Amino acid sequence: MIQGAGKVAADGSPAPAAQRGGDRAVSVNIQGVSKSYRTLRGEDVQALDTVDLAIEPGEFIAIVGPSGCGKSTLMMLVSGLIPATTGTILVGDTPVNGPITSAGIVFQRDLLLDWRTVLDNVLLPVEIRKLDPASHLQKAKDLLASVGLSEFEDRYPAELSGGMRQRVSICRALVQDPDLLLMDEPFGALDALTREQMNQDLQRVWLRSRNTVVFITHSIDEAVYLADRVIVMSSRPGKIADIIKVDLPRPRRSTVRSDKRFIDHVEHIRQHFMALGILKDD
Amino acid sequence: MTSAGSARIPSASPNWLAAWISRNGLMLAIVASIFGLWELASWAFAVPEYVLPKPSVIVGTMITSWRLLLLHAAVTFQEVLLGFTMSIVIGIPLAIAVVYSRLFERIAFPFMVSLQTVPKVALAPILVMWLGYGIMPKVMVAFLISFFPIVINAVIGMRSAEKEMIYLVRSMGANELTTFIKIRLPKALPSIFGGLKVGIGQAVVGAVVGEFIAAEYGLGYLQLMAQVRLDTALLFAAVVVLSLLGVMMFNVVAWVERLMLPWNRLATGATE
Ligand SMILES: Nc1ncnc2c1ncn2[C@@H]1O[C@H](COP(=O)(O)OP(=O)(O)OP(=O)(O)O)[C@@H](O)[C@H]1O
Ligand SMILES: [Mg+2]
Repeated sequence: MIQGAGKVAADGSPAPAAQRGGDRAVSVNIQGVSKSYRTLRGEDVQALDTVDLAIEPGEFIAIVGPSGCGKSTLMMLVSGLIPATTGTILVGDTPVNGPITSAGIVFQRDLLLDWRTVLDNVLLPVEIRKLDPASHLQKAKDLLASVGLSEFEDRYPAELSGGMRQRVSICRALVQDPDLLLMDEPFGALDALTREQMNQDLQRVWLRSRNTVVFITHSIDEAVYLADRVIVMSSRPGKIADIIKVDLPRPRRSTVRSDKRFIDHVEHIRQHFMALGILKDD
Repeated sequence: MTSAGSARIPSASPNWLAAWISRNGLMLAIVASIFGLWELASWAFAVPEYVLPKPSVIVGTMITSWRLLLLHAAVTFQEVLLGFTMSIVIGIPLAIAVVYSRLFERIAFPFMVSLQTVPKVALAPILVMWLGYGIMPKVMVAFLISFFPIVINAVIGMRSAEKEMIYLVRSMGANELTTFIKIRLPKALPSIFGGLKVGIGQAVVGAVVGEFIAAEYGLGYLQLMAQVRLDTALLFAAVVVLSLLGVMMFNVVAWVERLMLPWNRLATGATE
């Protein structure tokens, strides 16, 4: 689906191993970070136990874990939109002390603005950041075309399906070429087929931009397919239970799913969830 | 564009009249039959003219006295328009202040709410005493009555933006002003228009009540005069003109809303 402009290495040829990270990709360092929320009743709820994680520039990180374990919380902490209770986060060399603006964010909910057309929704970051409108207009159109939404540029969000809306919100995050891409279950609302296609498309786009990606998902399969490293989190309060390095060559085709190493990785993560009591056999 | 795309645009074919009739036909038929029954009943039971004039007589009066009615309607229209405009010009900025300032929220807002419980009609004689017999006291009553629904709806609307939506633009580097322009205000518009629609009707009531107290012009004044002269037909004609005025002004607000918020009908499922 994504056949956007640009030179894509012919499928199959492995990506040059030395070339890790685009020119502007940033590192992310999470050091001793935890988060408690104060509920309306005045109690403190610990959403995230202490987390330490170093993400290299241009690395693709996937985070899997049970519902409510603090995945979205971790993403919000990295984006600086909510403050950490303890610990520090560095994006590049800069400590996060407030909303960072170098990241493109795909939230768990699509958050499209009802009063803007699809194209204007994608162009929102361009307007707010006061980027060059002309060049980004073309970029926005290319992105929408690459997710099969060219025909819908002038429609309003209320006229789209859930999956289409989420694709628009992905285009919105990508239009500004972010150094860091934070995605919270972006494909959760998609059917299995479209989802597999989107995985492939995301990988292709990412191989070109090589920015740093933090990708949250419920799907073990999706995590292993996309990521350089998969972070497995335990139940609330969430902490890192394991980190699995996936060194399957890129670009990965959809057939990689039947590869022995792929299956082993998926099985390994599944075992984790069984051990944590999240997955149970009858 | 596909066929679905063009279907959204209202067709500009000469069939608009037929479309209008098919949309409003039922209402027209109901109104027509009520007037028909009224006419028949007045005739059948020989109801005296000074108690209940026949619709045909009311229409006749409207035709013969159109200059008089128009003169007074113009004054009432002016009062309503001024009062309503004042409500918007003062109410919307005040709503913004309530949303953005703790002080306003804690002091001005409770004050406004308690003021709301004071019957504005009871203030009318005082306003007349202060402001004289001209249009000003009527404008003030119209303003006082239509002000509250406009402010409260604007406040609710501007508070309705979800936290995540604010997060979204913050992560793009938006400051508070940009957040207001790009998110809070557009998000509030449907609610603001809700307040305006209530407010315009209230403003009409306010102006007429003001005219009842003391006036030299206006449809309310005309009614008082007609009442004194036992000219029941003129009394009813004034009511009809007043209703038409109210409906017209309401429809102008609704029309501006449709023009400004074409997306709202889609988002709220108001389309057929
Ligand atoms: N604003 C908040 N106030 C209080 N508690 C919160 C708040 N946001 C999240 N929580 C709590 O923090 C925990 C972690 O929430 P979070 O949204 O990070 O989970 P998640 O891993 O993203 O879950 P899911 O996979 O279902 O999206 C949950 O138990 C939730 O109840
Ligand atoms: Mg979540």
